[in-house]
Amino acid sequence: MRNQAISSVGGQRMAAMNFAGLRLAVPLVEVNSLVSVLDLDDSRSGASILSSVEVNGQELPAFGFDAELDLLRSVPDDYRVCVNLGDDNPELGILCQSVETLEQPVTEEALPVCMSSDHSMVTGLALNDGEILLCTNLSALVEYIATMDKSNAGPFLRSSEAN
Amino acid sequence: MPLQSQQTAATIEPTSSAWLLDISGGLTVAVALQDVIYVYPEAPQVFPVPQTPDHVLGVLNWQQHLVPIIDLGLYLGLQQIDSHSSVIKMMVLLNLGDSKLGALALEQIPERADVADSSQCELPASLQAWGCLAPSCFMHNTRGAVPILDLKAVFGSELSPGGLEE
Repeated sequence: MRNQAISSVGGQRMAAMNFAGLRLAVPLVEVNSLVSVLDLDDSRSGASILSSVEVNGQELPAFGFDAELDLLRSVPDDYRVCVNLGDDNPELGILCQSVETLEQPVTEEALPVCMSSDHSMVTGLALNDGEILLCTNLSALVEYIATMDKSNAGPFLRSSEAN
Repeated sequence: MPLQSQQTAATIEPTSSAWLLDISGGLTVAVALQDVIYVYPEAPQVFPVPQTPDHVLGVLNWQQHLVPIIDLGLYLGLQQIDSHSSVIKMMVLLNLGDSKLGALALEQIPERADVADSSQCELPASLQAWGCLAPSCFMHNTRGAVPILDLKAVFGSELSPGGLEE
């Protein structure tokens, strides 16, 4: 990916999560389920884990981002939904204001090389009816959170290592 | 050959046309005439992209093409991030080849210049660190040494702050 400039990697159905004015798209096939924040368990929050969510009997860590895509330490009042990511095997939840399925498939273009950064969850950009969307995916999110969590000595990495 | 004709032949030197681009921080760089596609007299709508280098201002949508925008003055450390105006004055859209586009933030409207081979000069010592981005340089009669940008290097590289290519 890093050796490409802007190049097409194919159109796909995507869901756009809203974070305080920023929209981040993930492949629709990676969205497992949606849960209201009212159904989350705050008792297990700590460091970058805002809450935990139960999916198919499994407790998943839930994270959130601000408009700069930095990990949040507390859940803003207007974050109402948790998007559980992982096709058949959900891995984590992402708290956001809202989420919507884009009506048309979009073509993700790899991030231009000059925009690459070692610590970014943004894998590409897409145009959706004139709107510019940031794109990511589950593996990029897991890698990003693990990196940030490592620097903060948070619990996500420790639980990953334990597994 | 008459003396007058000899003098005329000696003074006419082939030149190449270029655009002079005034980037933030007071430096002038040059690109080939055919590299400039469009000059935005006013800054277009810029879409900022988080978690990208500070000198990358974002992207813009040009006829359904997503175009990265670079502030070379920021990259070169000629302009401090803290003091950098968040308002981009103008921008130039550039052809990078292979159907790729890039944009540079500018301080002024670009100016045409004719560059002769004999005006070639060394990069100033203060700019040696980014020689990878400007393989050649020429002496302009009013602006001094003007680096000629290699646009593929500028937009096709991961640039680290301070002018060193990673």
